[in-house]
Amino acid sequence: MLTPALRKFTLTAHVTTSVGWLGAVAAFLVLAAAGLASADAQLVRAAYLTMDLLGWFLIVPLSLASLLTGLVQGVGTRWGLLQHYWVLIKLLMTALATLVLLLHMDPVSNLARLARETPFTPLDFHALRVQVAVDAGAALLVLLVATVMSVFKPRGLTPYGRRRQGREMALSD
Amino acid sequence: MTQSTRKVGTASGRGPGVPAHPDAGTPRWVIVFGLIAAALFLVFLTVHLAGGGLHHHGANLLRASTAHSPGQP
Repeated sequence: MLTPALRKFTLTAHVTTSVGWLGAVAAFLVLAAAGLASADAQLVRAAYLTMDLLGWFLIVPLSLASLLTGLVQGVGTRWGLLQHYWVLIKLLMTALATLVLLLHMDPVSNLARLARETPFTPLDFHALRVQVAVDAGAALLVLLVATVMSVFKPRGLTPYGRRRQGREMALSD
Repeated sequence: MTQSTRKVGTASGRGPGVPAHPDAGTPRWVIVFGLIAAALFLVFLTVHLAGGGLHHHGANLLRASTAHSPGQP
């Protein structure tokens, strides 16, 4: 178990990185929408160049840090990783969101490269640009749900959590 | 002698003397979450398979970029 000071430090790191991730994805979504909807070629190119930077230098590091600090919080506190449904589901959502993010950064980088190297116009690669915007919207929704779960901590023990708490109650009797 | 009012059970895998937990059973919100997740997974699979796999993860775009390279007709 973590000491109280270390627990507070990792909790602060977890909240900061998770909320930072949420904010960065919101900014990414604004850029994706601008890149999709704007008729200004310069703005569209600037949007994809910025999204590439934002993705690799802010969103990816924050997602990994959020996952890592969440794992430390789960393992190092009484909540555990597998005992409460809300912790388990949040872990699965974060891990899946990080995996999908890493897979979908490649198209963003390619769009940025095209914006840098070719006469990229607002009508090019429409399907891909729609996909990037939809991905960002879905990511924002997942992160909002994870934030709500962290705040409300809905009740419910997993079968493993029930067995473990049952053993602890039996031992304390 | 008073009798314990605490439930004990063995059918669910708990040992004798281990009390039933007040949180026993899967909460409704978890079931709803699971159903939504399954539906979204099906949508994800359909979208990716309908598009011919992981086409947008690099290969197509690289091909498209060569068509846009300067100097090409």
